[in-house]
Amino acid sequence: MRFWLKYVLIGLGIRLVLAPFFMHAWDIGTVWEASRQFLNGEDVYRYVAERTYMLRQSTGLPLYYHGFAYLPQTLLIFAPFYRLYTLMFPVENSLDLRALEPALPYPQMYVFLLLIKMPIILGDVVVIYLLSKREPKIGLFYALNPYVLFITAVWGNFDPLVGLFLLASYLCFSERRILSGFLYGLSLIKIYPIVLFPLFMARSLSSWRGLTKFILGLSIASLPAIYYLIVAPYGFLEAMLFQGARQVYGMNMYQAVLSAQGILFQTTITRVATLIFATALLFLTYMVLKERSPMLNSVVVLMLAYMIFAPVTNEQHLAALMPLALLSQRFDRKLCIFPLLFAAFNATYIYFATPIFWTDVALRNLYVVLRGAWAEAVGPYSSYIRYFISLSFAFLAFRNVHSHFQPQMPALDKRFQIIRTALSTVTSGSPSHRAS
Amino acid sequence: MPGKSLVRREMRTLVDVLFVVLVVSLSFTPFICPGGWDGYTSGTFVYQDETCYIRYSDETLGIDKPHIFSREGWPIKSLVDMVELSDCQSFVNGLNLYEDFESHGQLMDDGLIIFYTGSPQVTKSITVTDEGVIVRYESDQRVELRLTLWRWYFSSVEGNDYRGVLPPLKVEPKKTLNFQFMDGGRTHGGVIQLSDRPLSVEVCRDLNGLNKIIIDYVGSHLSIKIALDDASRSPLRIADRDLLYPLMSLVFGLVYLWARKYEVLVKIRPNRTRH
Repeated sequence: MRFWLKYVLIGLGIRLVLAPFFMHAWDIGTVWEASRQFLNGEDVYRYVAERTYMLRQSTGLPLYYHGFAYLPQTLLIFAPFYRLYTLMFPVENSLDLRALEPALPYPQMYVFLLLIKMPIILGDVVVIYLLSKREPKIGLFYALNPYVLFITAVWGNFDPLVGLFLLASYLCFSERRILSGFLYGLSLIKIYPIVLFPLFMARSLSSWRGLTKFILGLSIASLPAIYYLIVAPYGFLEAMLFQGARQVYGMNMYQAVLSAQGILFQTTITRVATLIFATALLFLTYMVLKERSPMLNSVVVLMLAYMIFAPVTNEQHLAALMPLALLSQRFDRKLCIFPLLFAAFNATYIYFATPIFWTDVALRNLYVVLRGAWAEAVGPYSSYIRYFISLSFAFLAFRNVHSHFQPQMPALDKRFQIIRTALSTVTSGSPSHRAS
Repeated sequence: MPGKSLVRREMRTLVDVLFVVLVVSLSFTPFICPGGWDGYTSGTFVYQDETCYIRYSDETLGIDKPHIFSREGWPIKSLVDMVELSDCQSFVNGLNLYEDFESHGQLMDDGLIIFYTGSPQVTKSITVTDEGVIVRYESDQRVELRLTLWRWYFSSVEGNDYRGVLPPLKVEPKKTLNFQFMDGGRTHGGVIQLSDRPLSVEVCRDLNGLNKIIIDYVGSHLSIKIALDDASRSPLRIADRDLLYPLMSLVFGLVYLWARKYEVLVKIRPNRTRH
């Protein structure tokens, strides 16, 4: 059997085994809700805008409804799989993942989770294939990486799909510019790869033909978004605005701000954070262009800059960088440990096992007991632990950004040169010989 | 070009220092949080100022309606848990405020107002004055109101710890009720001041001590002022948990700068990509 096929099958097998039993109820619920509305011919974005309006009216606070705030291309990816589920279970389709007490019908719940995660799993399979073809070890690393497995098969978030599109866009960039633009356009299903837009544009500027091709591909991928922009601009823009106006949150250095309770205060800090983010991004984009860094390094640096400085960076965002970053020789793979740890103290691992615990009353009671015990044991310290993890990630990522600008053979620090010289003298008696 | 290399290195050090300064500065942001009412995503509300902290939970919860804390201590103030009003244990004409009414809170100019949808119509407003926290219940008609104030635990209510007294533990109904409680190893005194004389006041206990005060009242308007008795002296506190954020960021920053200073090699994996 070919090695890449072996890795693909291993990766696929693990994902298929895990997928039916775990989920992030809210995030899977978002895709479920949007797919259902989309198939019923409802305006997904209008629904989100209306819920936001109601929330604001009832509280007097600048709140957003955390609903579907992604580009419509996402619906075209997920809705067919949800449709397949409704065809399989047309009568007992009583799912409600957004209720305070989620309604999970069994056993079709397992089928639903498997189907709704299928695009992400298939995306991972393609990534494993692409990486294995280039470097078998990297393909295997991606197939077995606990962080990637967690985001794809356990959480069920679609950032790994963003990673696939970015990887494919990068691989096509030199020779198939239209396809590269198209794939980059697809990667914008989550809006944050927009930080790479100036880089792609600048790198395409070498020839007008290349630039035109890239923009053409990007435009084709953006047709669903353009459609919504024309047909239902208010709801669409309102939902998109959410991603840009969210208060600071997530695994980043702004974590301490969350201890200062209050959305109005956090909104003010978010403006400052956005300014910091924009400044850092501009500076780093300028640097990678000025230094003529290789495309791969440049993409990794800018995506890492997003992870470090953006006001909202969630655990799953690194998954969008992983496929590309693994091709980079300078990417620090230890970075993927931190989001995995962060999730334990944020949503908590037990939350992801809701589909298992909801199967019967005894298990459900056990879920309540376990969550209570975890909250009692860790709850008072969890914000500090989250901050600790966030800082660890921020500093390590920042160091990694630096390493992308450093020469491959940096000069030794003076005092280490002295130590090395001394050691050489002791071992060989000829320091100049060793040094040469 | 050693000169160029030196400039690059200095530039990197400067960027590192700027990053550390940024991270450390951000860790101090909780200290610059302005006072007043604010809210959360889920519809939870908070009030904070120099002397007081109030939390009001969202409509999915029946507790903390509101939960009142006082800020005490020098040089760093810490929270003293005073008392909590519970909708789970409060009734209007026998109807439970949590189970039988739908409610939502809204921030207004002078405080937080909670609208209870049902019959009779009830509103609850929470305002903060120099003298204390005022919780005001109003209805469009005369109602039988039963309010419950919780604490784990009261040391005494109206000077009595009710040890050896058989329930019901009745308190003489009057406009002002005094209570004492322990927090952080110190005894604090609090005052509950009602706008009208209640019908009855009862204290309840569990195995560990007095844990709730039940106030029965008939009328269409009742306001309750809750304040910490200023007779208690502030203890000297040298640490507060929020200081951990700047402390952690400082340690991280210094370790990072130290590591960067002596970092001699960048780990680079061998070139193994075919692309």
